Amino acid sequence: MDNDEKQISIPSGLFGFEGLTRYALLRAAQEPFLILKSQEQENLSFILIDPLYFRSDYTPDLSDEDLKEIGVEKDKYDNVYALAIVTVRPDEEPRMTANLQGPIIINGENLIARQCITSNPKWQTRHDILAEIRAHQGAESC
Amino acid sequence: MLILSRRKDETIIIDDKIEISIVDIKGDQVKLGINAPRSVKIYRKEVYLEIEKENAAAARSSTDALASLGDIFGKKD
Repeated sequence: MDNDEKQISIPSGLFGFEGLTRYALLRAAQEPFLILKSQEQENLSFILIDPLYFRSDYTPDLSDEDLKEIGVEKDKYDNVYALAIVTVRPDEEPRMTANLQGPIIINGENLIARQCITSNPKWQTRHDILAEIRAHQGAESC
Repeated sequence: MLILSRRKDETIIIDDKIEISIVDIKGDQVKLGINAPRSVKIYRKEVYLEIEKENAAAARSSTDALASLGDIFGKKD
């Protein structure tokens, strides 16, 4: 995706934010993060990250229903992106975690998205981003 | 809420296509077997609640918090 701000539609909303369906997706000032900003509720935004940035093995299993909602035909995943919601807790360790169990899946063709739930128990709601980057680098240098 | 009593190895059918069987009962734990079409999503309710809770926590992380972490990743080409 390029630098422009994109208008994203999330018809089912995010879990706990079901009524809100219109968002803008833009780059954060800090690489490699993105911001998902509600167009309907002031001051509501989410920090996102491409999970592949710290888990190159990330492959969420998507259901037919997930794909149908964002208008993707089966096995045509070329233009489908997964993004993880990031939580920053300034006073708690780990300070920055990513939710890989409930990724946001975006169809790059029509910019319709959905928060899915992966059924693979490997993917949890709180992945310590920095620890996983360190672990990955360690594995590479072995 | 509809409440049905079932014994071990008994089943209920929902909407002609979803079968839920009592596979085993041990103390306060019940093992369920579920037969459903692939399109039906089945999760433990805790999973939903956990993701809802995490979304709420994420919504409270302001973008200022991101700035406060500093340039943790360094520059990327």
